[in-house]
Amino acid sequence: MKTNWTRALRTSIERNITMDNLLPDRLPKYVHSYVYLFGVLTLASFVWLIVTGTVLAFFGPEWWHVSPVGHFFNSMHFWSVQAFFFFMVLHLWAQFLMAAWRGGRHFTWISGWLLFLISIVGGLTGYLSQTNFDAQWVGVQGKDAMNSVGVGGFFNLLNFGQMYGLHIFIIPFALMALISGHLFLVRKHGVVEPLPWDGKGDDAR
Amino acid sequence: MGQGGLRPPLQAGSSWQFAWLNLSVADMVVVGLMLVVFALALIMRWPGEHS
Repeated sequence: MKTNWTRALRTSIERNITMDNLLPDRLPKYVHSYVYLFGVLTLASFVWLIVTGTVLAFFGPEWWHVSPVGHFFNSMHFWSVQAFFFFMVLHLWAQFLMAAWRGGRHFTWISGWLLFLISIVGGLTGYLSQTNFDAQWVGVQGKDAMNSVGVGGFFNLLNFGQMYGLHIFIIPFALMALISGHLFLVRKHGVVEPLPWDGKGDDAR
Repeated sequence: MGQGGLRPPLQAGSSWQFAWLNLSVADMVVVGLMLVVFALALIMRWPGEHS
């Protein structure tokens, strides 16, 4: 049978993506630990960031600076990002300490790092999108850092339109795409098991 | 500083400095809180679990 891209894609999906893995109704007993909750808490914070950020983007800076409801949504966006990074760092500690890249999970680990690094750029562009004196100060100070590493020519912290566009469109969609991939890999390979206590490594089981 | 002094609007307050590391009080509070939450997550037993 002659191969074509559609058939190859269907075969690959059927082989690599099983619904038993994507939507499991049973999880291993070892996930009964609060350490395994940091990832989903990060995800919940991200969902709340998108919800509050969408409201802020819809009504705009004049609304979030002067309206009481705007202040409220601005604050929720601020505290969501505090929770987002708080739980993401805890998730990183937990996964690092249990060597979560074991058992073919290296791309899960790498995608997590990419998410962390892109989130930092999201945080920076968010500071620059506040349209207040803090944003001006961060922009003027930070542009020298960008110039010193050679990216100031195309990543201009003083260009509000560029920073705002990155913050509300490109970075959120990049994060959503990467989170989808990250979650898919978690489902595909399963949640990593805790390290064995006998010091003999994975081979002990 | 002249002209009334150009001051950053972001005021982190007092900070602890060690070599390249510069942590404000707020930084240290957040890091401390993260360590506490992480330790609690390791120690606390899952509801319904028995040893």
